[in-house]
Amino acid sequence: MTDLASTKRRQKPQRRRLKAFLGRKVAVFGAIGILIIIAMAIFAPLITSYSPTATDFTHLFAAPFSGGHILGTDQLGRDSFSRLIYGTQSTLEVGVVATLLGTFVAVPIGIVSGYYRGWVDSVIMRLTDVILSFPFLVIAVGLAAILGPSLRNAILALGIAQIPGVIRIARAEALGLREQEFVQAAIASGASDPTILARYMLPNMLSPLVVQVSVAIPGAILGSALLSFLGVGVQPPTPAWGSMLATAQTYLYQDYWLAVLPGVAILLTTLCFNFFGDGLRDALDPSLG
Amino acid sequence: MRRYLYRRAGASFITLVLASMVVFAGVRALPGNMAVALSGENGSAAAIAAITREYGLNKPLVVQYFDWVRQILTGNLGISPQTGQSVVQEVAQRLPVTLELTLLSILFGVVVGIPVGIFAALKRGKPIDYASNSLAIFGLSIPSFWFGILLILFLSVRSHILPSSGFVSFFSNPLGNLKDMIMPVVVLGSGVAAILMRQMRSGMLETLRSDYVRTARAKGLPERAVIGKHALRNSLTAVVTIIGLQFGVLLSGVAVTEQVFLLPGIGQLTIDSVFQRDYPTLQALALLIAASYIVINFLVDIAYSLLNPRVRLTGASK
Amino acid sequence: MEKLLEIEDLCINFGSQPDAVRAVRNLNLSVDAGEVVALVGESGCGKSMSALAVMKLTPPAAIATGSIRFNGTEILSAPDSVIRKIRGREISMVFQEPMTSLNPAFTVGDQIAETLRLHLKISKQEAAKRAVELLSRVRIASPEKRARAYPHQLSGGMRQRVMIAIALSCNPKFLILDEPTTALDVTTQAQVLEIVRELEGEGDTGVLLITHDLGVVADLADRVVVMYAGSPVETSDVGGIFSQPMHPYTNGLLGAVPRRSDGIRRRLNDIPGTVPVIKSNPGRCAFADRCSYAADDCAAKEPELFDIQGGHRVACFHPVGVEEGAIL
Repeated sequence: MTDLASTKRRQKPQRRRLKAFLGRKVAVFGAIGILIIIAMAIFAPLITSYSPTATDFTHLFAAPFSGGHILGTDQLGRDSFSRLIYGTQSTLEVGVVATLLGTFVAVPIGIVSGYYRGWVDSVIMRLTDVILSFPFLVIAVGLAAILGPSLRNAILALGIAQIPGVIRIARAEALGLREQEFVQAAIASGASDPTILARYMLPNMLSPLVVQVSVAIPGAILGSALLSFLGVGVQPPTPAWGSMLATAQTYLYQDYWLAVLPGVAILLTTLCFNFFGDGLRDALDPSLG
Repeated sequence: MRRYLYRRAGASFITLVLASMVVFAGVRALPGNMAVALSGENGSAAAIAAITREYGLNKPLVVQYFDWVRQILTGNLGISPQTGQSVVQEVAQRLPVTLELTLLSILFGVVVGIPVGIFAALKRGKPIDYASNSLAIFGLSIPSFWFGILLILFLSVRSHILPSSGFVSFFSNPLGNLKDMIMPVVVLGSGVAAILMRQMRSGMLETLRSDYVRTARAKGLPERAVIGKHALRNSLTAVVTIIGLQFGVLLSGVAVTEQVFLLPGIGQLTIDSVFQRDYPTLQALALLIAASYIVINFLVDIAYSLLNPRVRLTGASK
Repeated sequence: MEKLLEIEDLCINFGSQPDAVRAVRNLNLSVDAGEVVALVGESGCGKSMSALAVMKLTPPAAIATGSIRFNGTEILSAPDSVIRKIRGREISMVFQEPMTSLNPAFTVGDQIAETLRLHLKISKQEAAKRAVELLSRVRIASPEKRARAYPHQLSGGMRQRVMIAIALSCNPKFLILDEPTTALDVTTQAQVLEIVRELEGEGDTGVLLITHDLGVVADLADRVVVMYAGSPVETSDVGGIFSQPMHPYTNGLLGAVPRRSDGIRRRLNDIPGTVPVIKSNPGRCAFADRCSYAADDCAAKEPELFDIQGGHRVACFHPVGVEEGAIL
């Protein structure tokens, strides 16, 4: 057993991680899928010639591949394909921005909590418990009531909802790291607290944080779809997959295509991120696989 | 054990108080005049004046907060301007629906997710492991409301096997009630199952590698006892905590599932109260949801400490 | 008469040919009833893997070939149902890691009683009573109280004694001690060894003692097998190993042994270099790179065990203290 471990240890860790990641085909598919989705969001106007918001009352509920509309039209005659393509923009925006927002706010708090422990830690833990006790939907609904429903408030709600989880991860890592010899040595040699936190602790907790981010993005995307489905997220006429599904449910008897396509779009996006995140986790932390 | 319980109870109480302050502050942060907001869109000047008096809106905020808490403790959560009913009555009518949906979904998740997770761990690297893992990722990736719409589309709209939406009480029509619940429970429960399955699988893999499982085998125990007694007991502790943490996520899922299947539960009421600016109801629901989350996690802590002698005996926290 | 345990040509590989890692290569070893045989070597030399093979507890990735006969049963080919009746009842094992080898979720009394009930089919009460007796047999004070304790409430030394109590519970014919004292502090080591020595005096249990601590070997063993990189390099009775070590590796080990008066325990890895990982057939002496006696022939062919005198066997072309040309 030890023999086996020692052979593996001889490879450089970065190369081993890359190999572990590339060894999982689904993870690579996920990464490619994410790149395609990003490209679709950026080059939306080049991909489709129809405006996602232009109505055409002569072509309502057009079937796919009819009248020049690849995926048909909706109840207002808007091109479904265009709406799906443009929908990637708000989807990615909410998913990525909310996650980064939550991470950037939470990581420093988590590190401070784990490094100083004591009453600072207790106070921070109680406050995260408070946030945790409000499901993201309640936060989103509350913000929608106070500030009005909008994309920005959906991002804010999903970002806030992620804070407790990230704080806990960063705190757990910091608690472990502060006992490590290199951190103890830095403390003993009189390094200032900000230096210790930023130079010694943060770089050594990047792996779990990267994994957390890659898992949180698809969660936030699902959350944003849920919010726009309920009408408290992205507001019409901006195309969003969730709100497309909400209207589609009304017309389930007339045109079921409208209900199938946005769901497939959401599913494919979150699948790509989840496959990617799983591969990343296996590569960075083999013990969990 | 007792000391640990007291400490957890204390922490939960503090969290609950802080959460109630957040709800109170949130309602005060609503746009416009508080009294106007509370009396509904078309409140008359007299009504507004009455509300200002009733809620003590001209008193200092601290006093208002304590008045509010006192009212809650006496079971008075105000009157919904929308229906004219008391909020307590409104919530009490809808609570059973949500409770039934939540409990059945968790049951579904546990019954499906835990055995599959154990099985996948035992068959690690085999096709069955990959299959169940892929299915779990699928379960995590699929938007619940879309899954619900698809079920309605195939099982109701196209083949009329199950009712598409609506709700009858279990007590007036048990069979009809369960039929109404099948699709919502599958939708909500499959997400829970996916999370529990993955957690169970990784927890099981970890315990299967542990030295004490090797000791159990060295004793000559049959594999059934090695897995069922020695490995399972230690993997379950982690899963119990996950169930508690998932509860918040589940509550958001409940709302949207109720919306899709038109179940008259707490989630639907929450969404409705936003759009109808029914702030007393919204305020009560936010507090209720936060309180139930805190209480559930306290119960989970107790369950965790019962399963884990290290916590039970020394009061060490996880 | 047949030996209690007889290992012949045991090979344990990880992975598939030709890239397989050969953790154990051609190990031959036998243990009589009442005899203590020590398997000595640095970590990673395959000694623990060999011990696990006796219990058929090697990890799933390991492929074991050869023969392990215990009391007339061929272990490697025996079905699980037969193995389960041997494990814990006929052969018991004490593992190296007392901190993690007990299940944290059950009391130590339960964990001792579990083995008793499994193999002896006795009642719960009877098993609980015997568990307490076993605890007092391994010198645990107030055994009734300790039986109700969970592993985390006990020290490492106590836990190791509990492991020994579990191992002894069904009076096994054969006991494997895998580095029983390595994880313990010096005082506790002495106490645990004292228990083992006492038990040894009592009956005719065969013991396979795995260790890298030659002090323990001198204390307990009747015969010694020194392993290096998966294969045995020297076997002898315990006197021969200490009075006339022949393999340069054994010599190095003994050089690294503290004189009792030193007060400092130096470990085996005081020989420069590390144990190589063996893949395929080396075709040369695996120790040559670290050996100060190495000559050209060491790189040309792998030496085999050779009986030099009265059962003292060594796998070396240039054994220490033996005249050149005495073996060929």
